[in-house]
Order: sequence, then C-alpha cells, then structure tokens
Amino acid sequence: MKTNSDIKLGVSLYSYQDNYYFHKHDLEGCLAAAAGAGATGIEIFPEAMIPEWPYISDSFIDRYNGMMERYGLETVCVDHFADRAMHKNKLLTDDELLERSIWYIKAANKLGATHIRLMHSAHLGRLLSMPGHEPIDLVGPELAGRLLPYCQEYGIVMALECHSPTSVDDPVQQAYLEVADKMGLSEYIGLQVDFSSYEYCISTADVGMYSRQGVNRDFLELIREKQREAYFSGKEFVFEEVEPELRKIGFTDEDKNSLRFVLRHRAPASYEKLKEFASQVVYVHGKFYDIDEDGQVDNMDYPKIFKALIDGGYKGYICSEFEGNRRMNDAGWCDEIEYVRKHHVLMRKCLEMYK
Amino acid sequence: MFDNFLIRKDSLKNVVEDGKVVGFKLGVRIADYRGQILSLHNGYYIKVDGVVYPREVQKFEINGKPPRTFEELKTCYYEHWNYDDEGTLYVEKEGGLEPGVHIIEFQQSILNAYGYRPTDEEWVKNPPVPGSGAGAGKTSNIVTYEIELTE
Repeated sequence: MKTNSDIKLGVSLYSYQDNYYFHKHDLEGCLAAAAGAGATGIEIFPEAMIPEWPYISDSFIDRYNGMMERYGLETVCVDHFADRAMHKNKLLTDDELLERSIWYIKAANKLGATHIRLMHSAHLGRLLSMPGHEPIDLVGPELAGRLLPYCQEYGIVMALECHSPTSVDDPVQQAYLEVADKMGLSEYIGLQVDFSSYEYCISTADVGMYSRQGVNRDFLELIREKQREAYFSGKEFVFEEVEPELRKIGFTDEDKNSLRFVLRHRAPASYEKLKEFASQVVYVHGKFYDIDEDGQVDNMDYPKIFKALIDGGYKGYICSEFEGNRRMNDAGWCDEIEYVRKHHVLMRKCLEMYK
Repeated sequence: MFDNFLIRKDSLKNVVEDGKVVGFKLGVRIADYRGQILSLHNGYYIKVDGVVYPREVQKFEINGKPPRTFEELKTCYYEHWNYDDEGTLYVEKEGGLEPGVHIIEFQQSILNAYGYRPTDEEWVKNPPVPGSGAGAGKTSNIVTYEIELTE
C-alpha cells in the first residue's frame, strides 16, 4: 500500500529472522508478511535469506522477481558486509574486499534493488578498534571511491549506515561524500539514518532480556525511569548522578559491567541536525525493539524523528528494522509479524501528522 | 541470541560404528543473524554432566559432507554454514552417554568475520578455547540445557 508522501515504507527482512530461522516462514512467507503490513519495499540480507549467496542463480532471480511482483513489492536495499577477517589466517586486502563488495553491487542489480547498505568503516562513527590493537578499516573513503564506478555501471546507490553511537551529522561521514563529489558521482552515495541514534532510554525489550540474564529488574527499571526523566526534561542522562541511588539498592560493579552499553548513553542525537542533513540521506532504517500499549516505540520519539526527516526534505524509503526478536525470544515465541504490522501503523500515523 | 535454541531438544543420540558406541551427537544451530563462513567456526564448549569434551574430540557435519574436525574446517574459506541450516556436532566418548536426562552446558565459538575483536590476530595462531566467552558471537554466555538421550 503506497503512502501519500515522498517517504515510502518498507521492511528489512531482518525483522522476520526468527520466523525464517525456525522455519515458520520461508522467504516467500516473509515477503507476504511485509506486504501484509503495508510495505512496498524490501531490504534483504543475502547471507541470511539467499542460501545460494554469493553465487545467485538465474532461477533464483526469476523466482524472487516473481514473488516481488505477486506481493506488489520492490527491493530497496541489499545488505553489504565487509568480512575483512573471513580467511581467519589473514585479513583481506583492499583489492580482495573490493572484489567481494562488487558482488553485492551486482547482486543488488539482479535483485532489482536501488541501494546497498555499505558496511563502511565509520558505521559506528569511528574505526572499529579495541584497546591495545590496531583499528581495522572496513570500507574506507578511498575504497568506497573505487566502488563508485561499479555503482554507476549497475545503477546502485551506496548507503552509509550511521548507527548508534554515531549519527548522520558526524563529520567523519563527510570524507566519503567528498570522494564522490570529486569524481562527479555524488548521486551514487549518501547517508543512511539508523534510528538507534535516537534512543533516549533503555527499551523494555532490553529490560526483559537483561533481567532474564540475571540483572535485578529493579535496577533496570530505575535506570529506564531516570533516563526518561532526563529526556523529557531536556537534560542529558548522567549515570554517575544516578549511581549512588542504585548502589543503595545493591547495584554492583558486575551489574555495571553487564550494562555498560546502556549506561554510556546520555541523550538521543539532535533532531535539528537530522533535519539539516536529511537532504544527504538516501535510506533509513526504522529501528525498533518494542511497542508500548499506546502504539509508540517505547524508547524513541518517532513523531520528532519523522518531523525532522519530513521537514528536512527526505525522499525515499524507511524500512522497519525490528530488533526486539533477539532480545525477547529467550522468553518464548516473539510475534515479529505483529510487531512489524504495529510499527507500520505508527509510521503511517507519523507521515499523516506532518503531511 | 537464540540462546535457548542452539541445541535441538530431541537431537541427542549415541553414535554407533561397527556395532560399538563411540560417542554422541547433537543437532546445533547458529548463534547469529546470518550464515557463517566455515573457516571461522572454532568449535564448542560442551560440558555434559560435569565432564568437558574439548574441541579435539569434536567433529562437525554440515552441507552433506562427512563429519570434519575443526582442524579440517579451519581452511574452508569458501564454504558457508547457511543461516537456517542445522549442523550436527559429534563428540567422541567410548560407550556414549547413558539413556535419560543430561545437563549440557554449551557455547558455540565462531570468530567474528568483521575482524575487529581484540584477540583476532592472536587467534590466527592460537584460537581461543571455546567456553571463555571469546569468539562466541552473539551468545557470549554459556547456556545450560537439560536434554534427554533418545537413542
């Protein structure tokens, strides 16, 4: 079902990973579920749902295109991975990584996609590194530049996913756009928003997961409450200010270590900046983990995010990326299809609101 | 992720060769959201009723080929373990396991293909011993299962 907007809605099949993994639905079942939620676009991970990857046969392409036609869908994005360490005994050279990356561009073209999500080095805003070790470059600006002529040949745009803790306004992303600019190939690369940048508190899905892993639920709920208080009063969440209260109820160093990814979070990225950068954005991951009884994503301000994208003039797809499954399925079956359906209702409401 | 589903509950069986019970086997799944390159598959921490069975007595069966040791899998750079396929883990143990319920503590080790974990370079020469949490992908804790031996 088309939207009445320059923004179109799709689903990343990542959202249905449990259905596929447990053989409840095959690829066609997942596509049907996305269409059933009202999506017109699809993002696909070849390494999850195309078993023939990387040698995709023509018969698969025919079957795939037939299914897309049947359900009224178009392929938006194919997920690129930069598996530098795939050989175990050595890292891939730039030439080898280039060759593998071209496979994704060609596959995207065959699957009728317009974009690949590029696993670029600034995916998290900085090079991937750990203390005491050389940082590892995935696809840097220079290598991205070498891919651009292939993008031109095959008509594919590379989306630079800006995942939490970074966001699209991080200056580190601009080096990629500058390379393309110099080559006159700017239309083949752009920024990709991932809503993880706009989380303002720990999700209820994480509260459940961490509590089942042994962290006291009271600690998690107190942290969530304090993060929400901070956000809704326009302040940053500073863990050190909350720590004494947590220590009083028995919070330990071990808990602190288990929750280190949650506790470093201070505030969502700027909506104002999102609006400013929206015209450089070519693709969006509508990430979510849980939906509350009011139909809202429980830890992100969807209306504000949508307003920023619309006011900034974003034109393109937002695909649901449900990541609650991996946080919830240890407690029992997680109904991904229903979550995505609710997510599309919310996204359509947000589009209507700021038409 | 998939913590509770890495071993299929009804898959524990003894392995018989030439009329002798030489070990046991289990159906296992990937602890990740995409298929994995076999060369990075580094074995299992598996402890049954308090006894640890190291990587050296383990073999892994996938893609229709006979069970292979992790030493053999080390060079399978171009072979994939598909995301939704079940593999079979074979463990050598003379006489196998007794019928009945067994407590299995379990962790899969598949090294990260991005190559940004701290230990990657060291692991090339010296792969981590499964069970340390290192190289455990998206399930970094040891998961305990209660599973009944069916044959």
